[in-house]
This record gives sequence, C-alpha cells and structure tokens, in this order.
Amino acid sequence: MTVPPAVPLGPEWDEPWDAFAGAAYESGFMQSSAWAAFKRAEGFDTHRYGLFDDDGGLWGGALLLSWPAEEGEGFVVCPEGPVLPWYDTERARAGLRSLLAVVRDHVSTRGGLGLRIEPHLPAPAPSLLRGWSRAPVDLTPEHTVMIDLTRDDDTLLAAMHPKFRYNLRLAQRRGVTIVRSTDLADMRRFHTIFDDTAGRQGFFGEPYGFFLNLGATLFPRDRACLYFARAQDRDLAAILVVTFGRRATYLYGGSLAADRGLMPNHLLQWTALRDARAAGCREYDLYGYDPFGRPDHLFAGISRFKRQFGADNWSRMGAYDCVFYDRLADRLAERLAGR
Amino acid sequence: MGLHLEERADGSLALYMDGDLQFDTHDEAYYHECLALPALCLAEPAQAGALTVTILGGGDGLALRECLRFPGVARVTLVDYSHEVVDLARGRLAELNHNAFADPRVTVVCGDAWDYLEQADPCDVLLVDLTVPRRTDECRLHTREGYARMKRVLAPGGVAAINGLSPQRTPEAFWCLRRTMRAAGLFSLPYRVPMPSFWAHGYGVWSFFLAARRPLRRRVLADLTCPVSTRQADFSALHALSRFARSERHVEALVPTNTLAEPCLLPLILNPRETRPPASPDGEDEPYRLDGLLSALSILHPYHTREMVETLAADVVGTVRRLDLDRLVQALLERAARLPAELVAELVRLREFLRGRAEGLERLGLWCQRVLVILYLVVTMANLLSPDNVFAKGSFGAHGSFGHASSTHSTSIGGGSSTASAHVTGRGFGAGYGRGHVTDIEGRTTGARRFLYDPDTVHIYLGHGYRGPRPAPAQAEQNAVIAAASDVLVMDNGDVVVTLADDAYLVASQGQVSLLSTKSGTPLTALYADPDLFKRLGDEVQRQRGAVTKELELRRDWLGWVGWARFLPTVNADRLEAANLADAGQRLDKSVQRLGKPASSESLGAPDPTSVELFVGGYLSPDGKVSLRQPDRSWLTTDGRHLDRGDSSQACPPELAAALRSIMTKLEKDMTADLAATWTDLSTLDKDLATLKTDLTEYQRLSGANGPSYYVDYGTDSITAQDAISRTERDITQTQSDRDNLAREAQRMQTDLGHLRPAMPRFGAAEK
Repeated sequence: MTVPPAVPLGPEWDEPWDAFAGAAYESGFMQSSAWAAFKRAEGFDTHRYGLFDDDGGLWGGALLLSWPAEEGEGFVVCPEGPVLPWYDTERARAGLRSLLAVVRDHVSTRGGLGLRIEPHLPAPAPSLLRGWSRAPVDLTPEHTVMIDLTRDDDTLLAAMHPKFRYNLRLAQRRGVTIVRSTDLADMRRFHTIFDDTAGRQGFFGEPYGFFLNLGATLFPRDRACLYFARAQDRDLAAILVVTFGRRATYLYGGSLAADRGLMPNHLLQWTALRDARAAGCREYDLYGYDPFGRPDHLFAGISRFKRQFGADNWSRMGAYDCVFYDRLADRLAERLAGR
Repeated sequence: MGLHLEERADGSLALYMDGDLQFDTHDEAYYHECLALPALCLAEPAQAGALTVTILGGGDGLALRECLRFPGVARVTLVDYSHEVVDLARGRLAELNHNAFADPRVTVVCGDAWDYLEQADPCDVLLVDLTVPRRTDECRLHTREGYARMKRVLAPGGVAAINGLSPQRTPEAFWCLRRTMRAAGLFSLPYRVPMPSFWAHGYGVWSFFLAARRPLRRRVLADLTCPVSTRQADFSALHALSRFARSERHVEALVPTNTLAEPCLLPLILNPRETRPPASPDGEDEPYRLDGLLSALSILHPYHTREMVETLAADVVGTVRRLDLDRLVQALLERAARLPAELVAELVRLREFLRGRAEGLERLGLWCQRVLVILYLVVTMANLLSPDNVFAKGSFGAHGSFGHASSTHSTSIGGGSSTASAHVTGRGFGAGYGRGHVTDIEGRTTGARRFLYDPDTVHIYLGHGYRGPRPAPAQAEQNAVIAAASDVLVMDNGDVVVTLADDAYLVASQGQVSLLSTKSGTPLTALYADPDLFKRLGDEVQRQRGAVTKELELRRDWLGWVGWARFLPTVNADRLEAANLADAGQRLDKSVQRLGKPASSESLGAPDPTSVELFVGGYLSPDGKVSLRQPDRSWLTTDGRHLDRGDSSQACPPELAAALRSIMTKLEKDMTADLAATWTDLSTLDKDLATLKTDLTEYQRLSGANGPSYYVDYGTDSITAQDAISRTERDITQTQSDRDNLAREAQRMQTDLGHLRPAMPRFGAAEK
C-alpha cells in the first residue's frame, strides 16, 4: 500500500477531528483538541496531522506532543493514539509510516529521538510494531476498569457489588447532594480536596496551577466537569470527569478525611457515570487499577473501591517507542567524542 | 495563555497566569513598592525632574501605579505581549491599579520585550516584571545577550529593577542571574522580597535585582529616602534584606553564565540545591560509575521529583536492552570517523557478538561500557524530556522486560523502602501535628496509630536467659508520632516500630528487637538483633532528621525576613509549623539514641535455603514450621501448636500463632497477586511467541519464493527477507529467554506458596 502523506490539521479541523478521534475505540481524550489546548497551556508544542483517502475522507491521524527543551532530545509523544484502523494491518502500517515521516521531519529541525505511541490495544503489541520497543514509562495506566454504559440503571446496579449499592443508598439517605460545576472559580475548592487526598494517600499531586490550566482549556470546550459531594453546606469529596466522544474518564478526585462515613464517593461516581451515559458516552473509564490485588500497590486502596463497580478489568499493551537509531547514534557519538 | 482571576469571598483577588501566581492583593503592594520605588529613588535622570520609565511585562498595571505616583515621572512605556492581561488591567483591575492606563503619560506597547529592547530609546528606569520562565525559550531575556540589551537602553545614570528568583529555594538559579548580569556588564544589587503569598505557593523568599551601568553599593539602600509613602514596604529594612552571607555569595562562583548558546538557567531553576556535577572517571582505567552518573541527572520538568527521576533512570537501565542494540552499534560504526579508534575496534567486536558470529565477549571493553552508560543517560534524558501523565501517579511502564511492576513479597523491613523526597509540604506540621496523628516527613498525616506494650519490659519476655514469670500485660498504649517509612514508625517514647501485618509488629530499641501482636499487651518473643535491620532503621531515621533540619532552616530563614507581614494569619501558621518541625527533629534525635546498636555485628541468615523469609529473623520451613531466631542465636520453633526451644516444648501461645498467621496471610496475598501478574505476563509472552513464529514462517516462505533480497514489511520498516528472518529469529530467542526466566520465577513463587498455604491453617483460623 502506498504511503499517503500526513496533512497538518489547523484549528478549523477541531470539530471534525474530535468527532473522528472521539469515536475510535483505541483512542481517547488525550487526542482531543481540548487536550491539545491544555497541553499548550502547560508549555508543550502540539501538532496534529490527518490521513485522507482519495475522496478526501479522514481515516487516520494523530495529535503529537513535544516538550521544547534545549537541554537534550526527548520523544515526540502520541498519547492514546495515533488514531488508525489498527485491525486493518496494511492500512495502519501505511498510516503509521506517514506519521513517522512527519515526525522525522519535525525532529530534524526541533530535535527528538523518536516517536512514542500508546493506542489502547491489548497486549502483546501487534506485529505491526516489530522493531519498536516497549517504553520504560506509560502515558496512561496500563490496567483500568471500564464500565459499559450501554446498559440501563437497573442492569448497571445489578452488576455492582452489593456494598456499592448499599453505600449509594446510604449517601442518599444521609442527605449527600451532588453539585456539578464547570466554573473555574470552583477549582480552588476542588484542589483543596484533591491536595488533601494526595497528601494522605502518598501520591504526587499536581499543583493548583495545573488544574487552573486544565479547567481553563477543558471547561469552555465542554470536555470536563467537576462534581462536588456536599452535606450540610460542606464539601465532602469531589471528582473531575473528562468526556470525549465515546468515553468519559474519571481523571482526578479526592475526599476529605472527615465525613467519609457519609460515603460520598459512590454517589459522586454514580452521578457522573449516569451523566456520561446521558451525554452519549458508551464507556466510563475509572482510570488506573491493580487487577492482581497487591496489598502494597500504590493503587491498592483505590482498586478496592473500583472493584465494587463490578466491571471488567481492561489491560493495555502500554507505550511503544520507535527509536530513531541514527539520531540516537549521533547523540552518543557526540558525547563520546566530546570526552 | 491561561489567565485566571481568583475572586475570593473576603474581596481579595489573586491573578494566575498559566497556573503561576502573579499577585495576591494581600501582599501585592509590598511587591510592587519594592520593585518600583527603590529604582525610581536611585535613578539619576538624564534630564532633571523628568524621569522616563520603561516596564517590561507588568501588564496588570500595578508596577505602573507605583511609577505614576512617584514625583517627576514624565513618561512610562509599558511593554507586554499579552493583550489579555492589559485588557484585564484596564477593566476589572482598574480600581486596583488606580486607573493607571488612563494616565496620559503612559504608552502601551503590545509586543515582545526582546524585540522592543532592540530599538528602544534610552530610559532612566527600567522595570523588568516578567513571569518566571518555565521553558528554555522563556529564559531569553535572562541571558547575557538579554541583559546586554537592557544595559543598552539604560541611560548612564539609569537604574533597572529586575524580578529575580528565590535565593532560598533556587540559590543556583538566583546567583546565575547575578553572574549573567555581571557578564553583560551590568552592576547589580540583589535584595530579598519576602512575600507570604509566594511562600504559600512554595516559591520561597523572593528577590529583586537593582542593576545599573555604574557600581551600586549596598549602603545606598541604607540611605534610601523615598519621597512617597508606602502601604506595605518598609524601606528601612531594605539594607538588611540585601545582605547575603559569604557562603551564599560563594554560589555565584560555582554557577555558569546563562547565554543564548548555552542556556543553563532552567535546569538550575528546576533542580534547586540538587545540581551536582556529573561524576566523571578519574582516568582511562576507571570505568564509569553508573549510579553516580544517574543520580547527577537533572530534573527537567516542573512536575517531576527527584524520586521520579531516579525511578525512571532505574527503569531505563532495566529496559535499555529492549532497544535494537545491533542496529545502534551499526549506526555508531557508520560514524566511526568521529569516534576514537579504540572504541571502533570494540564496537566491531560487540557487533560480531550481537550478530551471533562471535562465540563470546570475553569482557566488555572499557569503551563499550562507556557507550552503555552514555546510552542510559541519553535515553533517560529523552524520557525526562517527554513528560507524561501517568508516570507521576505511580503507574509505570515496563519494569525489566515485562509489563508489571513487581511488588516485593518479602515482608522483612526494607520491603517498603521510604520514598520521601525530602521536601516537606508542611500540612502535617501545621496545627494538626502532635494531636494523635502520625505525620511523615513530607507533611502527610494519617490517622492515629497506637500500640499496646510496655517499653521497659518489651525485650525481656522469652528472651535470652529469661526465666521469670510472664510480665504483666502493658496498661498504657504507646503513640506513633512520625512515619519514617511506610512500615516504620517513630513512637512518642523514641522507640521504632516496624509494622509487619495487621496483627504483628516489631519494636526496636536499645539495640534489641521483639515481636509483638496488636491484640495483646504482652510481647511475644525477643528476637536476634540483626545489625542490618538496625542499620537500615538508623539510616532511615537519620535521613528524616536531615530533611527536617533542612526544612526547619528554610522556615527559620523565612520567618527571619517576613517581619513586615506578621499581621497575616499565614505567617503565624508558618511559625507554628517551624516549632513543630523543631519538635519532630528532637523526637528523631531521641529515636536515634533510643534505637542503639545491637550487640553483634553479624547478620545471620535462614535455617536452610529452602525456607521462606517471613520477616527479619522469622522463617517458614518446608515442613510448615516457623523458626524464630533468638537473641542467643538459637531457634525457637513452632508449628502453630507447639513451641520448641532446644529440648523443651510447650504449647504455642495463641497470640504468637495468630501474629504469625497474620504475617503469613499478608505474604500469601502478596505472592498470590504477584503470581497472577506473572501468569498474565507469561500468557502475553506465549501469544507473542506464537505470532513471531507465524511471522518467521511467512518470511521464510517469501524468501523461498522471491529470494533472500526480496523486500518485506517488518513493523514499519521495509527490509530484506533475509534480514527479517534474522531479526525475527533474534526476537524469538529473546522472547523465549524472557519467558523461561519468568517461568522459573513463577515456579519459585509456586513452591513458596506450596509451603505457605498448607502451613497457615495450623496457625489459626483465616482472618475475615
């Protein structure tokens, strides 16, 4: 199959691109125009390319991110992408080759040692990625819980752990209410809860500024929403849910240590996933899970909670790198000769 | 650009630009008075009584407000690239900046400051109020070339005031600015600007630089008389704020100049106090020391921590063999002309080995070792320069060769090694500290942890030579105060507790260690005091002590400067935090003393190599018995029912059996989970092997039909069938070997579980 050239897609392509990428099962919100805007606010350079057939139909493409640094050369990354017909091997190969061509062109002027991709395909990686190497870090969690939203309330609830249903009713009985917000002014409240949780659970919590950028870029594009669980005029817990195409993702969240007995988290998730279904999403991604139940795993606590949803574990092949060996050799030769 | 104005219930405002705090109305007056007024006071206008001012950045109009109320200011040009900020300043912020943009003396240039400086007219006062750079290209105005442009626009008697960095949080970057000004021919005079809002955001004590074409002596600040009143700034303190100790000033000599060709500022900002010169070999014969080189790697992104960088570096070392080394060596050989001859000879040998044409590689030559080490560095750097989302959340990519991060299944202490990054966020050292919560060094708090034991008799019962009666159960609980690691707690009384499982823990103190149950106030047994255990515990407590000392110094420094704002409640909170940190430091000191040293310096191992280690000094043998190493090195053995020591036997105390059961339950859970992960990996590798074998058959068929030079698809490459066959064969060999190693690992875990599972019921009923 001949290699079609990848064409840069300007801002006028935001809508059609989002419709295209949002429908792809192997892709996700990190390929969206809104995410590109967020990454730009965070200092990244973003580039978007499309692949077209002879009739002008869009059949593939990628949002690529790179970090502009003069301290060395990084990878051009394509989280949750590229968007390609992965199960049509020849077409996907042709598409990947054209994307590699533009990345090669990009790194020749801007620097870079290769392309890192992470379409959501199951392990092992397809033959199409022979000669690529498994990246030392992933761009999204390797294991997650994915809830099928094509079911009605009763079916969803029936699949859940009895404890989930019990806690859901408990929260409702004790007067926990859920308040939605896409107002950036509420981000401070969200961050206070998130930061408290990060401190308690011992994971790295991004600073307030990160969330300001996230809200400032995703809220106006209708790609994210904050949900606050409240009782007696107090915040109990909050989550941030990103919605893109077929999938909604519970990306960040937290709860305050006090009042956890009111079980706000179950009602929060339940509300968000019903909203996602109403908005036309087909899946709700709980984003990060340890399927093996390792007691000391960083996700151990949150995995116990996520297990109560009674949904299936989703495992992915992880991130893969196409290393540009010529450029890597150049860097090594430079360093070796410099001694 | 992301602009967010936070409007608070108390009427105060804070402006954020791309997530960075620009000002907070609680202390913005202090900032802008300190930025604008000293420079205005010190400038000697070219034309008497007609000061001309240029402001770079400062689109909020607040520095402008200060200029306009200063006597004699004739003209102000404000250069800001952001229309958005200027619009906000003219609108919502107009009241705050006293409607500064409506003043006829003001000209606004919406454009790039760098370009503006190139053709600007000279001015008497230059105020540089730029945002703190986050990317190298944003550091341009802080290069030698940038400062040279500033110097050019300063009139001979002019003075510039430049927004600096924190001399406290990022001293190297701060002194790099000074050195760079010097290199550009500017004389400078830095002074601290202690801002509570900046401090609360972790920016540290802030600073500005006065700069001029003529020398600026510190005493000018002592004599400064300001013709206008100030709301928050107290210029009588300015002279003291500009005093830097010799040890601080010394840093300037150690940092490079920031230039366009060799930008160094950003790494210095992102690697505060951690930038170490890369370890280099002493001579040709010294191989590179990988650890040293990797620990010298810089943090290159604001959301990375030292811990993440080190984890990543370790992961890269584990995965680098996944790269196509054959291809890399070939590419290096194509650059042979640029490489030392000895290296080329070694690379040729390596290539022959990788292609299976050389039997063995006697010893990897020195040069090749260098190639590998530099490869680690370059690849780790490349990963650090590709910041992503999941990394920071503790989910990693391919550890070693496979998908799953292995979790340790040894419950011996050290299993949960601490990951504290020695940066105290402070929360836990605030008002909640010492009120029954446990605080860790990063300021995280967890719920209360209490343990029922008597510190005076804890090591006696069942210990060496003890023949007395069973001591009375403890009456009072001991409280944990500081979490030194995930499983190491420092107690109120200075003892160190190592948590083993829900129902079992160790107490280490006075060079002795005992096993206890959470369900009983009587110690279960004293154990042999393993010197390695004590060393690790001691190191951990000392490390925490070091971090506390450092953070306490930072806070004391801060409190020493922020006197002007003592009315703000946040400053009182800082004071409390400093007091609590001092208290934590004392407790850690006490703990080091109380821990003591064990009598023996010999670490003793398991009773036999087939036994499973439950914790330091506790082992499960294949016959289902647990052996506990006693202080006199003898073994106390139990099958859950009987407790044997030498020739004597007695019934096993039920609380000892229950504690051991609890430890075994946890270990069984760990190992079962690890085994499940390993099975998943094995199944993935099996699938991969099957596909590889199908591919190989197809390549062989294509080669047979069209000849070995026929081009075929191999991933995204197009190579000859012959090459595809040899690469696929190599992939099969590698995958097979990974599979075999993993299968052995699974076998070992299964054997251990085979010992563990049947033994467990004998130690008591399963916990719910």
